[in-house]
Amino acid sequence: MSASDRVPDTPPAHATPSLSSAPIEEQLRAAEARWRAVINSAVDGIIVIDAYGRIEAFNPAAEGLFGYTEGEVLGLNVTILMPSPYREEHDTYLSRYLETGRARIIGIGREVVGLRKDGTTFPVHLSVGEITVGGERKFTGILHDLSARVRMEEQLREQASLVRLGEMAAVIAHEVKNPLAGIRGAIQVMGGQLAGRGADAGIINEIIARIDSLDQMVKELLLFARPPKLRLAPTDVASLVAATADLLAHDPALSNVEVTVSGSVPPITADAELLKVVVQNLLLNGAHAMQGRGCIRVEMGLADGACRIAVSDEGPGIPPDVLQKVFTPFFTTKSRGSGLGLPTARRLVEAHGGTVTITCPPAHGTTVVVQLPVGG
Amino acid sequence: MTASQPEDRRLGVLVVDDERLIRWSVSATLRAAGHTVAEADCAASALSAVGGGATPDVVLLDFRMPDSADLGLLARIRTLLPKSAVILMTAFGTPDVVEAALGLGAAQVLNKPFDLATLESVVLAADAHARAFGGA
Repeated sequence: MSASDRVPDTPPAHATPSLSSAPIEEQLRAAEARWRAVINSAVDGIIVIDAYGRIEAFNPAAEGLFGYTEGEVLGLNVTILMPSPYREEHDTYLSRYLETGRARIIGIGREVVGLRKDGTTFPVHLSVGEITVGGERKFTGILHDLSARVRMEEQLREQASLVRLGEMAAVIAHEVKNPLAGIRGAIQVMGGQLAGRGADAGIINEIIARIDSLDQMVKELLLFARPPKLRLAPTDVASLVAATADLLAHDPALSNVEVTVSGSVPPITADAELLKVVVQNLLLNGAHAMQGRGCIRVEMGLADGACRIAVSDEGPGIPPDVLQKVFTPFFTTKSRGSGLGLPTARRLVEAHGGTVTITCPPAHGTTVVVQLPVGG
Repeated sequence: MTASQPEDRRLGVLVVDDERLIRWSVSATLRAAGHTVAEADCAASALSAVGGGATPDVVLLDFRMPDSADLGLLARIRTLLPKSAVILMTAFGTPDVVEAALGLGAAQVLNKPFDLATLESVVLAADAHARAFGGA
């Protein structure tokens, strides 16, 4: 085949219109629209700032990340998007870079903390590139939300520490409960021998009571750290709740607490012993919230095919910053107590495949809702 | 011959526990009620006491000791003393352990710390049960 036989090349179907065919303005508009579409469709936030740190561009993803519209932030210093101490350091970083060319983040990228319009913060990976436009230096930041990853890391850490706690539990059981049992027994015998002397007898009883509360603390720790394997069986929730409420009625410390139980659910597959602990913990929490006086309402029913138990107290409710922490093990607002009541209840409910949620209506009071699958 | 009432019986009891205060308080409580109590502080001394001819009516047996890590000692004592009641004492009585112990013939599982005030009746009841139902 000779050169003169060659068929002229046809342009591939995706080629842009040849430069010679459309007016310049239209081509520029088309090009700009294409790049703008890229920026607008990006999943990560894209922010452009000038050499003074003023925001010149703020893509929709950035709007979503920070809660501001582009219009609200244009012209403002990018430091409004940073919590302390990043905010105070930024101007220094910027000016030092412009003078020395020494990059801390430019061209590199690192994990920082962003500040949303509503005041909350979140972890974000920031990478910064430098551009020169019309003789002016500008910087483009790409922001990748790390919230999900950080949350997952926290969960893994918590799981690891729970495993360690579980391993500790057997040692604690033996090394603490055995001496406690020995001390309790010996004091009980010696107390019997002191029976005649009134004041000492009272002290003996007090010693035994303190030992029992130590033992109770260890029991709570063990139950939380090593929840027993579920022993599932058809469970009559209504009678379980009534029986647990009854138990509380016999506690002299709770004589001014009234528990009303209403509603009904069909039997569910659950571990009755563990459910009793859950209900007990919630009722005790409610009683403490009300300072031992008032009414706790327990309402049972089916919701979306699941068994729903709502425990509401008339106490002061839980402030939002505390509410975030109530399921944290060992967190307590009381001067005494293990801080394990709610975390244990949640662990036991989740072992059943259920959920525990807490809401506080604006007036006062707290409602804890336990949802359990009917089938186990 | 009329069977003696549980309350009248004077029992021979063997208490096995590595915690001295537990041995002391259990012994003091049961001796004050008129029973005879022998003590052993580990599996080896418990087995040598039994091997040496001791035949207690009731054995109070600690679950975990330095030389006893499982229910093997319980099983052994049940074999050596089929007519005696064996009560297991434990600090960590999970349902699995309780079930296994009862399956091996333990009369009862006591969770530590337990109340000494009720100990004598627990021991008497275990003995009465063992005599009524033989070495089952």
